[in-house]
Amino acid sequence: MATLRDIKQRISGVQKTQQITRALKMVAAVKLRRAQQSIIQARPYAHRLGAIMGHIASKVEHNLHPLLEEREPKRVCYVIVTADQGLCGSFNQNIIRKADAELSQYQDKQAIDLILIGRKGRDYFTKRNYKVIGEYIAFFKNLQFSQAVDIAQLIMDLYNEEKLDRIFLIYNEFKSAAQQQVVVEQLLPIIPVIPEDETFMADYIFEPDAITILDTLCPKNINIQVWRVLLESFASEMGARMTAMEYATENANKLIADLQMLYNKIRQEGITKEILEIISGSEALKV
Amino acid sequence: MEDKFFKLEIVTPLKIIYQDQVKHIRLPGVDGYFGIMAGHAPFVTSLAIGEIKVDLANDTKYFATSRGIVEVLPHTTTILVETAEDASQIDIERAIYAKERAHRRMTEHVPGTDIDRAKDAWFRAVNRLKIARKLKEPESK
Repeated sequence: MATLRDIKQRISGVQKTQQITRALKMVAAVKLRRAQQSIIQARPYAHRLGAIMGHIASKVEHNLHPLLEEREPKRVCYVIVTADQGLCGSFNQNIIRKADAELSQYQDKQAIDLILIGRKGRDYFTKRNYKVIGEYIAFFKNLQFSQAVDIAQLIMDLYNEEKLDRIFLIYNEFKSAAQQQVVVEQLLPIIPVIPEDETFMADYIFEPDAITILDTLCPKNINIQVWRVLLESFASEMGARMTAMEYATENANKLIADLQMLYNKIRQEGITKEILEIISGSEALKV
Repeated sequence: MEDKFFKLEIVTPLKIIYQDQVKHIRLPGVDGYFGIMAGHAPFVTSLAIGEIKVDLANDTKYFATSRGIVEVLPHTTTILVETAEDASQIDIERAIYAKERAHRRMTEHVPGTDIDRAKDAWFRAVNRLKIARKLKEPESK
């Protein structure tokens, strides 16, 4: 049977935990606001650039530019974006589960290259005998465009040297503070997209010519897409953490209420017992 | 003839600068300015530093812009540029300052200076100034 002091201690323990979860929630909320703003501002440009690339890819010969070329996928690369920290609900688990499912399609583990962004994913996949060609941890603290460019550069170099034939991104897409969606997306080669009113597309003109345009546009597109994905993931992480910590705080409240109730009951019992003892004592004296 | 309109979007990495139904636009192509009206053949081209002129039903807008790309589709034209500033919102003092700073970089020859970048900055500043001043003192016709 728990003593009063035990329960008192547990209550104060839960209260301390609650203070931490509440603080984490507040921090996540502030970061979320900023992260949400950046992703919402970055999306229009990235989506439109991606669409234009798709249109161009549907109009030119694919061997015209290395970044469009469809090669036999001998070496496949997955870029997996997770968080550096836990305490964000099922954010990391969702990504890892999805990535595991994707990777299990391949017979030969050694034919896959992984680029791991975020400590959680790194810790998981480095232990599992995959070939890791890039890892980036403690990355989101101060997210800069140049970091996206670094990763994009690595990807493009390996692709151009034909060390990689196909590149996928796995990341959490930001829907709302309480909702993220795991997305698997092909980054390279660029998938052709035919515009909605394609009847007019017969004579799609390039000026000065397709190669010049692709040369400037392709690297920029990869940079921007990687950047977008980093922002999506960061905003999702903050959203997930805020929601998870909100639940944890509420849960602590419930726990404290229950414990308090138990405490009161035991205290009441004790008092009742004491009164009984006193009464029976005085009854005994009367006789 | 009735005016035909098409949808124009000017988008930078930071935000959507402008979005509307417009009548005619004039863009700074790499080989000089060119115009686009509704029903233009679909095409893609690069843009240089310069001025975007947008004709609406009864208004005209100017934007200072730097390098980018434009895609023209039958009903929509999308302009993706590094920067685009509404001419009426250009800060002239800042532009002058940027121009002077770029000029110093170009002339001082400090080792490690990226001359091409300085030149680019100078062109952008001059472009911003030109467009902002044109708006302040309307062309006398």
